[in-house]
Amino acid sequence: MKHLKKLIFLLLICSCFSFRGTHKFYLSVTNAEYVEESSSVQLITRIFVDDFQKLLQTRYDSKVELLRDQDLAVNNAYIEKYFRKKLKINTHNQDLKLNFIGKRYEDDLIICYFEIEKVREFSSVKITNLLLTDLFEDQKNLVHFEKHGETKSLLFVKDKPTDVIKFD
Amino acid sequence: MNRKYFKIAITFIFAMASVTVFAQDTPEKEEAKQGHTNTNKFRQLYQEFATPNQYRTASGAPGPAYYQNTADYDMEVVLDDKNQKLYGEETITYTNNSPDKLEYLWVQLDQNIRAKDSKSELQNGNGISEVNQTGRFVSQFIEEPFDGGFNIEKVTQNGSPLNYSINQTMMRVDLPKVLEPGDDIEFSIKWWYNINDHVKNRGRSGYEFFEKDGNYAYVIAQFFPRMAVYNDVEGWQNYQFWGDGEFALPFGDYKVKITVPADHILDATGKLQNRKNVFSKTMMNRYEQAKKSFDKPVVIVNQKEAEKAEKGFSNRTKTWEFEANMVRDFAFTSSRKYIWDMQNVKIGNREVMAVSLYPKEGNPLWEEYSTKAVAHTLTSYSDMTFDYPYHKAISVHAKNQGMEYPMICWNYGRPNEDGTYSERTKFGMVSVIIHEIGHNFFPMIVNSDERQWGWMDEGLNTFLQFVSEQKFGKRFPEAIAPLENYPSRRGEPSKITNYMKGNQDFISPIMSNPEQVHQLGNNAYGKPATALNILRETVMGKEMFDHAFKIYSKRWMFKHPTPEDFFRTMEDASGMDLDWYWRGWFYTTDFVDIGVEDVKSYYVTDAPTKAGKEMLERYGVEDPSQVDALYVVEEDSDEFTSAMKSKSTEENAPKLKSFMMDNFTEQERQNMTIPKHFYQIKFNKPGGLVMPLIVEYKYKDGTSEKMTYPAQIWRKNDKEVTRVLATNKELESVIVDPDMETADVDTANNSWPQKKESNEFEKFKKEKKND
Repeated sequence: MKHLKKLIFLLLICSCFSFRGTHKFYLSVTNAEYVEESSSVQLITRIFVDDFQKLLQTRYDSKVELLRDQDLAVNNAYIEKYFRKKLKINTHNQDLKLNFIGKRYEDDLIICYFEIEKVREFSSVKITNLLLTDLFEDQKNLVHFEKHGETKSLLFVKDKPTDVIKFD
Repeated sequence: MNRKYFKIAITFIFAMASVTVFAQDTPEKEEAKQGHTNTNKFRQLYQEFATPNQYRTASGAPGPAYYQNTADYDMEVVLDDKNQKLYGEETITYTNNSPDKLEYLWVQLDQNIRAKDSKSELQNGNGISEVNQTGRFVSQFIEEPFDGGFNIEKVTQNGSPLNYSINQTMMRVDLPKVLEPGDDIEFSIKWWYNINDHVKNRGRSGYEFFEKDGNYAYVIAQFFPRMAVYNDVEGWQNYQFWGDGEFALPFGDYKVKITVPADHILDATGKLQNRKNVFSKTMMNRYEQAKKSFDKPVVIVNQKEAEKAEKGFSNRTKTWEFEANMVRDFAFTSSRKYIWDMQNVKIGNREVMAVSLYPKEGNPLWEEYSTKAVAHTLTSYSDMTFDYPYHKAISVHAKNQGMEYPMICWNYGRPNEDGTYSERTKFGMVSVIIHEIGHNFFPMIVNSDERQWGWMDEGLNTFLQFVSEQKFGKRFPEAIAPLENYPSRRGEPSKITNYMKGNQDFISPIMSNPEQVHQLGNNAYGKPATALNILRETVMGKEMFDHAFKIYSKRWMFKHPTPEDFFRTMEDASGMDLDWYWRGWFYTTDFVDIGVEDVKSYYVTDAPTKAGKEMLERYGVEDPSQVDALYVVEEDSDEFTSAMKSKSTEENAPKLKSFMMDNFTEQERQNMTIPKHFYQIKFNKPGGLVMPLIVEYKYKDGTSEKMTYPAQIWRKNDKEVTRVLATNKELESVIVDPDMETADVDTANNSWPQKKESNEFEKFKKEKKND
């Protein structure tokens, strides 16, 4: 018991430090694009696969494994569920529905594809991005949003998970 | 007007032709622009670079007055495995080789970052969450913090106390008598501290506790008060240790005795002095075999023996004695859980032991790959720099961190409990071992100041890691199958574009202090590694780069280089002016974006065109027939006729034919071809970085050719430039950077005719459907 207590507080002290030669940093990058012809928003999110696997294991099922050569429906369901909860795209005061298209792997990254259909033309979009912040305190999430050739970028952290982009 | 004057005028007109293209774009009525200082991207780095001097020369080499101070240590250390405490007493001999008188010394107390009153945590802003994990909440707001940090018991000189003053992680030791140039001083420090759990709080040093068997594995570093660096650049480098900026340390010789429980297995920086006292007979025999094994590791302590040891707890102790010369630091690892293997590696005419230590939790991954990766790193890095000068290199398995020290480093990569492991765990482990063992070269031997310049060791090392990983894939294809190339995470130009095109508010130049950047991983590792990779493969060429890089490594081996020493040496040894490259990639946050804007097709004629006549008029030529000149007709213009397209250039311009007949013999003419097509291609550069302009011209007959225009093509106009392509083939398309080697952040403008590429998303969606 004494030990457990020690572990818990140690866990915290240094969550904001990083002491490494090879730096372990927590970052996701989402490229979003509004496509006028199809009235859709296309989203591509890159996350470190070991971080994401740990998240799914911690949050849903300790047996989840994200493997290059597998495409399990149950994993896809977890991914969609998680993204719908943690990545919110809001236009005209409405949260839009993310549809999971699929995923692929590149080195140590997992790349997830989502599509939002039937998106009415908008001039401002509110984004809430809390991906992985429920597990990693210092997770940073970048979003590049492109509309009519104009790209705007935002950085989200746990303490500042929501921001609005205005397009001209 | 005499003919001679005409000729000069015409030459002048043609020489100006390319300039007028730009001049026409300027609106006529504009307010006069104000003057400016030199903003050319190719101007030399006189303002940014320190002035060369007797210590550091303009060629990037150590100068005639170059000096470095040394710190020798004689230490006795005791590890208390019951209470996780470390006790030590050290005598430091500090030699002042500088021309300056030193009134006091600065000693680094890195452990103080974990002291209760540490300011490290206070320098970060934080906030309160809507929802808090209870345990986290308690520790953040209720519990007492960990009681870490050095307890300095005494600082003495010949038994008499010395005055000292502690400022966070730095301790000033006042000298009773000024330390004169050339003199040395011997003084002692007695200390102890509580060892932290490096797994839970992410330390570079500490212990891991194994709940199942109740044992600890220690990876111990920054564990003793260490001398700061005094040099010609910083004076005393006493910038506080905040956590991100790593270390600046002088070289010296070490004698260290470490006392641990008798059933522990221990290894450290330096040569083991009393092997016979601490090794069993079996271990001794196996060690002798390992010295003869050059192809695979020999196990010194096997898993069965380690598993047996972890069931006990010896109350007796053993003292391990090490000596290390010309090292900048000292670290050790100790546990009764360790399995130990090693093999010999031939480096030039030297022999080096590649060593691994790991608990059974690391197997079966570690027995297969650790020592193999160590051996590979030693040879591949030596090929790029100098022969590895120490006698061994150790990889220690620490659960989730990678960290480097002279001859020894900690590496992650732990299989699942049932011994299975994913590809990612495997490649992550091989990569981190290559990286941390590689750090022996930078910064352990080429000893840059990490506290100030994180990229000088991390960037150079990540670049070499990429080179070494790719070689690993070629050398051990079975280890990476079914992949064709080793999956390097950093190094490829395409991997840095997402960072470089990001929000400028969160990007810093590479030339920034590690404590002040937003994304240390990209800033100190990814971007400089990619910059060096592009410099090697695209800008300088491998041969020239490798030669210069080796010169830098050798010049600064066992010395303290600065960024300028690196930049200057790379130019000095290659004969290439690279100031523009350093300025763009290292001193700014600019990115690469180069495109092709349009292509105009021309045919040649000897009949004066409207535009041609106008131009001659401007130069005072009323009668074009007096001028021996050719003209061009643009394919889209009114003067163009479809007949021109079907005729050859000689047929369109008989004057050219007569000129050829008059001036060349038939044989000479046979060896010459008169191009039919003249294309004027306009390239633009929305990105701030200047880079070579790499272009692939594809022709309608299916052939293609690649041209590289040096980066200097942008020196007179940073925004756009045109080139003429004279060819007999009809042009089909133009592609900029066809092999994606420049880290171009936007490839939508890289081709003519502009392709409406189906984007990454649509490509993936389509593939998904076809599955």
